[in-house]
Amino acid sequence: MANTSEDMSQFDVSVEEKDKLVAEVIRYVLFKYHQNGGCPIKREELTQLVTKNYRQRALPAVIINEAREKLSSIFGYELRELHRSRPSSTNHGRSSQQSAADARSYVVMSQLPADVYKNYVENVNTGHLTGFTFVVISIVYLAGGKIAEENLWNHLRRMELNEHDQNHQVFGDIKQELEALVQQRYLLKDKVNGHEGSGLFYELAERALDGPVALKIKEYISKMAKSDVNNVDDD
Amino acid sequence: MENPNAKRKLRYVDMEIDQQNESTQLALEDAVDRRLLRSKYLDVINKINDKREDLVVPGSEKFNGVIDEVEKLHKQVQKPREQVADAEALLGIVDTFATSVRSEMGGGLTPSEFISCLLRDFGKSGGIATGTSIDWKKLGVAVAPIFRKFHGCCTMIGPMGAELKPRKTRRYRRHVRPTQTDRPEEVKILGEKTDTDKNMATMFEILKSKKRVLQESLILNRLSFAQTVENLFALSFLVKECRVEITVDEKGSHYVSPKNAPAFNSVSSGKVAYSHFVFRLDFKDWKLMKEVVPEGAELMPHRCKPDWPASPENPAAFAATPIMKFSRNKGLVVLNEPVKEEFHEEEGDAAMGAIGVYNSKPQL
Repeated sequence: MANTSEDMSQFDVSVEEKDKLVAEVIRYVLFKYHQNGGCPIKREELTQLVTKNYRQRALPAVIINEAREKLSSIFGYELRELHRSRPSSTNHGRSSQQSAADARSYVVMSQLPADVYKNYVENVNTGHLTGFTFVVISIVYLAGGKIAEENLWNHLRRMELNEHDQNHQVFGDIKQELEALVQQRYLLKDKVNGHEGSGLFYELAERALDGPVALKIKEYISKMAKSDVNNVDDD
Repeated sequence: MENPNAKRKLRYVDMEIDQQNESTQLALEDAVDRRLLRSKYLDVINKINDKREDLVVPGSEKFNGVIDEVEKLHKQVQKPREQVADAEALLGIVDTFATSVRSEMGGGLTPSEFISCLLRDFGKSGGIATGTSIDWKKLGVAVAPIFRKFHGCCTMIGPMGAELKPRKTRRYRRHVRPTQTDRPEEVKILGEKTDTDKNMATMFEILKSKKRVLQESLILNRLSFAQTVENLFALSFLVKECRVEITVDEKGSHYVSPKNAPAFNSVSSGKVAYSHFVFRLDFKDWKLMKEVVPEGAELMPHRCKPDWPASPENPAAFAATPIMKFSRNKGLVVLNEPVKEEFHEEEGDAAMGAIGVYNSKPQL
């Protein structure tokens, strides 16, 4: 507490004011995340809550960090920071400084152990969306991180997911579900003009490339590859 | 005589024309060759794109064939346009291999093989087109720990903004007191006694005649708890006016006897002082009283309700309240004096006795 009051004194902000700001940020994160449908929250939106009434430059960072600690300790949620990635076709010639200044966003993830989350938290009714997310990200990952739209739909068609199907019995409008993955920053959609003409490409975005998520996806895919090899050996 | 110079000049012109024709022909042939070269490069690029997956298979002969072909075509490149085509072909080959290297990081699984694994592990029969579909819910639950999604809180109703709205300042209307004419004073009719006054008078008359009576006998009305309470109420006023006194004997019974009120001097000098005590009477006490007091020992008379049906034997039960009536011919009339009807037994209509006929008097 002494450190906190010292930190706040350099901002000329009382501890009560700081607590109020932290509460506002936490409240915003909790409700906005639901309102957004799982899309990342931009850092600008959180800093605005602080800068609306306070001019101190470094204050938003302190508030957001404390909000992150409280979310973890009180709710068991991790507020992960992501750096917005750009399509690879536009990345050429960008300096590292420009990359660092890219927009930052936050996603919230549960900190529960995997087995507890799977058994007690995961909603079976929305499980199909999680499965779809995993399949699409895995296809793009195995295609080298980037895949043409046509190729992606070729693969999805094998699982009876057609591009023009708007009344799928599980997903409804499948194209819309794919678009949702783009909005949730799992995928990037990029138009590339090549020698074959212009075409749409899907690339992995920052949320799918984030450390824990990418690692787990590779683990699951490796598990599948090993079980496939075992099956072949048994045959 | 022929001019040798002219012949020589003509020969030179012919030679120049021949040279020009030759060069034009060469240029045409060159353009055709270059066009052919670029079309061959296009074929190679199409082959690279179409056979992408076959090229990266280890030990594939197709890769060697493509490289040899590109090498051959490269030797014929001289002009910039063909150099561009050559570079695009090489770019296609490099892209294919870069993609293959990245996919090798996924355990060597291709997307097609991955989908085959999914269909094997999570497939279910009964799909629409091919008969094989994925159990998406089962797959989702299996891979849920990857994403550990937080669905957000949905208990909020209303706008997202957390701003405090300033309270609206209330505007109070100036309270205007009604004027005297809006609120007329109640008119007290002189001489009219309230029911309590009547009860007090009745009770005092009983006490004057009986001198000393049991309190229970004085206030109890065996038929009505309400009238018992009214009797107690009247007694309390008599006590307040010091016209009765309540004494308690050695057995604890309460006796009521009449007395004169103290003189004003006694009150002002302090010899006599007011004191209060609570007399509790509830329904259970009334029931006990009914058991204690012998039947017929009640002193206060039972009071009948004024709206009970009137009868000839009870002419006092007639309502004496003046009734106002608006008549078209006579105007506002007041129905005041009841007129007793003669009851004819031969008419046999006993119900007529219950209805009073009133004289009407026009209101001026």
